Amino acid sequence: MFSCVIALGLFAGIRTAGAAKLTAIVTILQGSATVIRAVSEFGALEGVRLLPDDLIRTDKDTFLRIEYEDETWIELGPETQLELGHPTDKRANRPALYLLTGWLKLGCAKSDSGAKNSLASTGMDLSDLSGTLIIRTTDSTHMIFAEQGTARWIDRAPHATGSVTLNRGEFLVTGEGKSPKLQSRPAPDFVSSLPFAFRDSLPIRYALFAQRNVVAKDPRALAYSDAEPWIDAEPSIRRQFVVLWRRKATEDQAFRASLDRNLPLHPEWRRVLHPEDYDADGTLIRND
Amino acid sequence: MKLLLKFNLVFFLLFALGIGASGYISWQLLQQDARDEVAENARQMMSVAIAVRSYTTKQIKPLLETQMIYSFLPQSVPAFAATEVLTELRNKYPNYQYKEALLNPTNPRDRAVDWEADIVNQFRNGQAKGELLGVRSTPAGSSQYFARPLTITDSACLVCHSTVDAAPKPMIDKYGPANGFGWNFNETVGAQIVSVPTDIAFERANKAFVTFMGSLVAVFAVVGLFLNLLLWRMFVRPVTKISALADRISLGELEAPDVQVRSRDEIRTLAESLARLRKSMAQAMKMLES
Repeated sequence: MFSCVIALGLFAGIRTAGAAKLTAIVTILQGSATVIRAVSEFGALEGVRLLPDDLIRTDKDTFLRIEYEDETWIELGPETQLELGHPTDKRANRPALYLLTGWLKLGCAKSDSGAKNSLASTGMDLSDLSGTLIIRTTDSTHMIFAEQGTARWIDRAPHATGSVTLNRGEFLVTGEGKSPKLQSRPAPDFVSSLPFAFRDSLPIRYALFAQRNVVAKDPRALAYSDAEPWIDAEPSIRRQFVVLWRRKATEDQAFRASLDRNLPLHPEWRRVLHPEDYDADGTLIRND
Repeated sequence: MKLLLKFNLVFFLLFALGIGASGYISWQLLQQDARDEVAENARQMMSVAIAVRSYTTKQIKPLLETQMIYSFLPQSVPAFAATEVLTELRNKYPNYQYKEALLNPTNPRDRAVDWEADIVNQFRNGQAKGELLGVRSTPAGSSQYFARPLTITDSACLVCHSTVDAAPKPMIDKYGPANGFGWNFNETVGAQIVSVPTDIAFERANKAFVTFMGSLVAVFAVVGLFLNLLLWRMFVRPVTKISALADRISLGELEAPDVQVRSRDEIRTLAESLARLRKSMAQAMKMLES
């Protein structure tokens, strides 16, 4: 019964997406990946439609390629977590495309409207993107390579004003508390660990799947372990999930218990989990 | 001199003239065929090399462009592709060679050796144009080379071969900054050289010549033997018998038996004439005696 509800929810999401301006399609999947959509998740398949705000996680040794109708494409390497959005879209004045961790290769389509491409990751934005760009994000470091185009790196740390422009072929290494280091060539360890599929220019396959209706694989309820990296992400990105998963947190006791157990990592959930700790004005009255 | 000996002397003379003329003509034809075959093999090999270069430029290189940003792949270089493909052929045909000989190559294996450098310089200073064919001796035997100049007519070549700064960094990583730079547009920087062994074709031609001439001699010998036999049976033997009969008649043996000739030809006519002569003589003798 619950599976049917999830399936209906996913189907409704796809119908809604059909009306959306830009629907993404998984056009290549080597390995396995999971898509979190609202309060459910499912296994990715080639041909599956993806919606803005879908959270995508690839597993070890996985390569996944997502394409838009306008020939913008996103490739994900192994063990990557991404919040999907078209690179020209914005959400709350920040880029809609957000890389939490892992490998991402972005191919920007030429825009007739002049809309600028951008993406974000922990503590940084990349704006004015053109051509092809590769980013590797780990807990402490960002490595950015302007393979074919240009990009502007912007530090989002509080009070930071720094920005660096990457031209074609340039490589930038940044990290929390580190000053950005621009190099004329990618570092050897970056090249040696680059997912092999990132080395090729792959053909656009959107049209192959555009008329197919691929049903999501193994739909199921969202598990806390899958949501956790996003719940504990940097504040600017994780706040949206309080709204998105508030109802689940009140109805799913296991989810709620896990949230409560790790509350210091995401204190904004306290108002949802323990409303009794706040007075009518929203002021915290218990601080234990 | 006996008739058979005369005949054989004439026959041998004609036989020797025939063998000599046939030998000369067939030798010339077979040698020319061998030369043409070697040249054709070289041209075909050159055509394969050109086709591989074109295929690499049009179809392989675009596919590898992204990979080339990270590491230099010589497989995308037309010269490398052609050399590799034709080197594979050497597994089966070890004395066939293809080389893109350059005076200042990026890949050291393409550096022109002395005789190759001579060919390149002939193209560079205008002594040779278009194609150059020649034969040279090698430790493995005689070899025919077929060469075409490599001239920079595509400015895309200069991306990798003009200056170290302009060249792709992964290429510098692989081959270093010392060689393969300073090329200019419209400059002949090397030559495509195909080497094909001539010995095989000429050995084949020689073998064909020996076989042909041996067959010809055998045919002449059989024909000569047959003609001797025929001559002996048809002329020598009956004429000898007729001669013996004539001798006996002349010695007065008018009762000697006639020579029996089965054939219906001049020899039989001669035998019959001798028989009539003998009868006439016998009758004349009887008339004289009576």
